[in-house]
Amino acid sequence: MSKYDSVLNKYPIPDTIKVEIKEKLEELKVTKKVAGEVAERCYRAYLTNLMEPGEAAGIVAAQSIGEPGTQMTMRTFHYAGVAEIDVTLGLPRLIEILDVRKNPSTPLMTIRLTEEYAKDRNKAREVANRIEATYIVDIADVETDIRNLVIVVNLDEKALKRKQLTIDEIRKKIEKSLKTEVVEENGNLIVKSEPSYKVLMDLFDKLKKLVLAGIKEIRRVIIRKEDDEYILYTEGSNLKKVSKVKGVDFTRTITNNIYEIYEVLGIEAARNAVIEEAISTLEEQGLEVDIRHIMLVADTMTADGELKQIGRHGVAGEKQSILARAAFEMTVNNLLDAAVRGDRDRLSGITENIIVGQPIKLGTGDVELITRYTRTKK
Amino acid sequence: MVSKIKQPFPFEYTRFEKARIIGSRALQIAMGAPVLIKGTGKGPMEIALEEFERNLIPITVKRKSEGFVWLQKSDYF
Repeated sequence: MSKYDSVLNKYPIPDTIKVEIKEKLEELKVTKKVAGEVAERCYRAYLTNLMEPGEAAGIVAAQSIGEPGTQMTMRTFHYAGVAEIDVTLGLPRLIEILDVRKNPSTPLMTIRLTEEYAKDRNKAREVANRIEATYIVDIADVETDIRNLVIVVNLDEKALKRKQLTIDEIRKKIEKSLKTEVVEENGNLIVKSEPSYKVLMDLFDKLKKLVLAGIKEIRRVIIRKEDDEYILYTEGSNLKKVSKVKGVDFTRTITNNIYEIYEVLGIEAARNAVIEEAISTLEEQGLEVDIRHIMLVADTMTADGELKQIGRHGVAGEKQSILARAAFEMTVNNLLDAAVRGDRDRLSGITENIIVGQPIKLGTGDVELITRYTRTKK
Repeated sequence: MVSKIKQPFPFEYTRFEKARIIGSRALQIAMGAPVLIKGTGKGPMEIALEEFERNLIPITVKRKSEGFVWLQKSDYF
């Protein structure tokens, strides 16, 4: 408890602002009286920055994001970002975020490790091996022996060592997954098949697709040293599985796949992810949009407890007004379906009232006047 | 933790409410309503504005608890 708490608690301002003011006050070590003055002024500033009831916050947000959006690159722009990983940027990425794509074009993860593993490169490599998907072609040459109808797997010792795998492990893995007999013969693995060419080829394809170690979705892992800590950057993302891997500090691990965050961590985390991703996408393009506009967008996307996209299948498509939906997309379908169902439009929103030519419930349109009987002196 | 003290909102009316009140009053005056202030040579807008400044207009706003306008003159928030 700081001595400034009692001063600040007099004012109904958000906790985050209180914390900020408190930090600054403690840094300056001012007296209680001065602190009171500061809090008062901060409160005034806070009030003048509040939006007035009736203001068109959504439209202001739309314009504030849309205007700098026109300057974003229209092309799908990939760049060699952190350690040669391709990242979708600019407008395509922003669209991806607002559409809540389940499979974004470039899923990435930033994985931080627990203390035990973070300091040592070999230990970090160990975790990376547990995460990165390893296929048979990464560690061996695979050939089909048509005369004997077997597949010969010529293992690469070096690759095996780097991946920290043993021949026996691989043998068991293949045997279990393909349900065939596998024998070891002077450093090679012989995968036996039924005496049929077709079965052999099928087996060969299956073997090539088999994930021997790691997580299927993680295509590549890059280890980088930042400060005195090794961090893993991955191409591909699977938050659920990565969080269970030994050595991963789950609390400091992030993905850019918002839908995955929503599924694993819940709606509040998803909201924060939407804000974070949208802001960083805009910032990367050198555009400055106030965070509150994006927070409004993120709030409308997550307000119902599920992550909805902005668009036909989400926020715009679930509007209760027929006219508002028809004005957005698929006009004829919407009107026809509504007519078949015998729907009513209650004309409670903005769009529908503009369509029918009525004053809208915004700004002066939302003010209801009544007679005042008492005359108060100012 | 948040203390429930009454803090008046810094303004009595929002700018929309102010505009609406003055607008309605100016319309009344333009259509021949009795004027509540003295002085000549002013248009209905100026008269309405001055009446508003001096708090003479017998019009106020009705706020709905469920509507967009939710702040009372002194409110917790």
